[in-house]
Amino acid sequence: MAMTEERSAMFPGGPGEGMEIIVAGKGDLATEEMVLNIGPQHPSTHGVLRVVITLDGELITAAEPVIGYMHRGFEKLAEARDYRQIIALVNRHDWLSAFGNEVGVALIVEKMLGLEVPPRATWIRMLMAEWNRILNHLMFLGSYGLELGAMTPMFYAFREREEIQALMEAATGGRLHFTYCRPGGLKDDLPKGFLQHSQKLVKLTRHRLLDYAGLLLGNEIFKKRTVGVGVLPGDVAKDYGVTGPILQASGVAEDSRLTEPYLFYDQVEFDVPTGSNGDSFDRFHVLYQRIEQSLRIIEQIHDKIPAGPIIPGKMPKTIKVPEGNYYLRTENSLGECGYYLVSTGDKRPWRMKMRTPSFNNVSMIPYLLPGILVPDLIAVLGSVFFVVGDVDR
Amino acid sequence: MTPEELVAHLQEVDASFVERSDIQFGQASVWIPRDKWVAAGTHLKECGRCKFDMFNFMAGVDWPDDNQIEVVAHLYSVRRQHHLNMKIRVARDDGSVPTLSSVWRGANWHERETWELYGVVFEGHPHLVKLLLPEAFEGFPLRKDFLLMTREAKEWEGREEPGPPDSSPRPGRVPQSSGVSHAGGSGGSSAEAVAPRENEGAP
Amino acid sequence: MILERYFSNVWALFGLKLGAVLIFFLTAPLVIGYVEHKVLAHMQARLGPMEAGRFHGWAQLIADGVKFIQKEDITPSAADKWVFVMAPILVIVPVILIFVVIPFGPGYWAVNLDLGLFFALAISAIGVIGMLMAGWASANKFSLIGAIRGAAQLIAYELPLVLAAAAVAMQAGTLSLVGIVEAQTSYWYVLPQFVGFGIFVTASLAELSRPPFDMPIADSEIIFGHMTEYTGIKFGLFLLSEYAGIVALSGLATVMYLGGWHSILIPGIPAPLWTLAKIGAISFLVIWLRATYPRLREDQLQKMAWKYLIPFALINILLTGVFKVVFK
Repeated sequence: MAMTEERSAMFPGGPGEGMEIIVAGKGDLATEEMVLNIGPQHPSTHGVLRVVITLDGELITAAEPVIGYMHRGFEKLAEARDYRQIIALVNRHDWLSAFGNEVGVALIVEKMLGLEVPPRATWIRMLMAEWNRILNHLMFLGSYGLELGAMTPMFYAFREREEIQALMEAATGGRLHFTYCRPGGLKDDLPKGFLQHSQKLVKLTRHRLLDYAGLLLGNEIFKKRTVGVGVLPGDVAKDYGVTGPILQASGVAEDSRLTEPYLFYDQVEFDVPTGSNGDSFDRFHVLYQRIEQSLRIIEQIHDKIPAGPIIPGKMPKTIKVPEGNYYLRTENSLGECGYYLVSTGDKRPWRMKMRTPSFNNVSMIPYLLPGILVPDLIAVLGSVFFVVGDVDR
Repeated sequence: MTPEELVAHLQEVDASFVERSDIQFGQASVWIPRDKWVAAGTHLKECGRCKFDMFNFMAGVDWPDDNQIEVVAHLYSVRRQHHLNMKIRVARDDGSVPTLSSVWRGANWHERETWELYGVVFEGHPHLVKLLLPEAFEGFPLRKDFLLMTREAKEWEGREEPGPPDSSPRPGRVPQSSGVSHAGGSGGSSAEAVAPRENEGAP
Repeated sequence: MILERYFSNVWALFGLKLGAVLIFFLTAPLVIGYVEHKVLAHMQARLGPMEAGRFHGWAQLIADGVKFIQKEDITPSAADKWVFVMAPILVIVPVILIFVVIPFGPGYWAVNLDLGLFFALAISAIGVIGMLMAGWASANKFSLIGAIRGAAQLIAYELPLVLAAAAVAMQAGTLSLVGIVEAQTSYWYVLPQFVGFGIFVTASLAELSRPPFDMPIADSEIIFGHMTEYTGIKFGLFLLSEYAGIVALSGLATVMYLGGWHSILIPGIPAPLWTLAKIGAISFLVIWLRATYPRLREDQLQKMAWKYLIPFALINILLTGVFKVVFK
């Protein structure tokens, strides 16, 4: 049957101005697909991520993330800096877990150089890395609730973050970008009273973590909004290279701290929590459990830190990594963060590829979004934990 | 499988898969010829012993002296917990590599990024448009002949070791060891302390 | 009405009553708004307004009002001008009119209508039209989505509201709000009709688009729903109508379920203060729910109204009818 179409302009100025209504005439009921642009400025995308979605009513039929709004050319910049200056650079792509990135760079340089790091420095690095992981996870715990409409967890999360940031500032001098690691060890030793403060903070954080379980995990409305929404099967996740809490929530217990222990992770006990369904609730729940596991690790580290130096005795004046290439990965808060370093024996890297977790996590959005409704879009996008600086570098 | 076993296994399956191989710091890299690129990838993903189910990343490395660009695809197996670098060298001008996005979905975005930063075309890629750079950007930034203008304007000296580690500084005093360059440099100097340090064991 | 003892001139009475209603309308929502700032803040481990007026920021909302008045009034160029301007008026006037019928104490009311309850519920339904007008006239996709969600939600929740109120009217035997309060001398209606009370409060939360039913103005998804394109005093009127709506519907709930001005336990406090205290308690509950719950999705909202609230409200009416016949 032929379809007649009437266009009526509801506002003065005719078609093209204001809103136009297309009325499908008698015959086949055809609806047009609407292309909606979420972002780059939007209250709930984390940073400048733009997602162009094609809507059929309220159902999403296609989604395409447009990234690159924060591309700063880190990899090119890294080729112009030497191995100490890169540490400050690398702080800044995943700024919520800055210390984890620093550890990755320091580790790969030390591995290729064959530098022996004193044990005290390694234990302190582990301690800081775990506190940093908790900082990152707390941020996403708070902001996910905010996107669904629960305002309160955000404030609680920031209260916890303030305390932990004050702790880390005492040792490193920074609240967000620490620049504390150096190839070979650390910049400075811990101040007096740090470990006692850290122990107190573990107890406090553990106590306050129960608030989140009560406010969100047990909340029926939260469960209704997130259970069964945005299911990511494990093999699709692996295909896209998704790692970290998202992969673990899809049922794959892949954690670099367990499979290829770096630092001294083989000397502490912890579990890797996994989810069963791969939906948004599982991703959130895994995040929550990872904080508990990190607290457990921190407690064990407190008992194991030895006395000693924090820099090896004989450090070269300029660090020149011998020729070769290697890829080293660490388990960062958002997933697997790795550095592929190609060196030609110079004091600057020839090529430093930063394998960032958020890039792969965001690349699976075109798979995840189609087939869900617009209100669920926010619930799903919020559960794909990413930091835009990480995606774009 | 250990890196040696991986390389040997690949050579067993099809001797033409491995043009050249290398093992550095315990990680295996194989150079695969262009016509076997996708076949090797498919084998690596599906073979029960290799089982490379995770496409980790793809990077390009520019070798201007050889006039070649090396494309590195790093694979990881969650089941078997081993890594592998698939490498291929193509000519700098008009180099092209068949796409791996039909084998691993994650290769899609990585190939787009490698293309826009290096200029290596991936044949058969479903949607080869710019990912990180704006549409109007010209040139391939990560190539060595694309100069970083700020570094051309001013050379950035690397920071040198500011002195032996146990030159116990007192609070507020900056040590006068030689070789400390105050220009540029990021992070603090390791000798400025404003709090007494503890160097003891467990409290 | 108390004032009738002292004044017999109709026009003087009218002016005074109008003045009283307007003064209440302008102060009570500001008090509730300030309480919301402070209560939310303390529940979220922070302080809330502290600067305006020097003592714990008591003048914050007055400062906000002045700010809104002096802001630039922007009308989007593609907007339908007259509809755009009329929409806030259609949202705020009905709420003022509800205050006209709420009794605050013996003799303290503006008008004692025989159909007071009917009038209040009918008038509050006009707000839907204002919301639709605002969303449509804004010429903004997000506003339209918000307005349509709002219209669907408000229409769906009118029914439980009316049904719960009908049960109260049945039990009291009158539609007049004063009559309903006077019928609660021996016990408050919340005791036999606690289900109805729950339904009424839930439905009024949805009518006001308050969390957990604030999908129409979900500010993490559609910016601010139908109010997105409004600035200046028109935006201020929208916000004022939200808080005034909280006071109005709390007032209705107080009158219908919590015994209006009847005292409990503590003697000697004047009756209007009892009403205000009860209104304050229900408003506190509304604010507390905002701090705690995330928001329900539209379809879950509708499911809740149609599958749960309405059947329960109907059962409530049935039981009330049985109760009235058996025990009277």
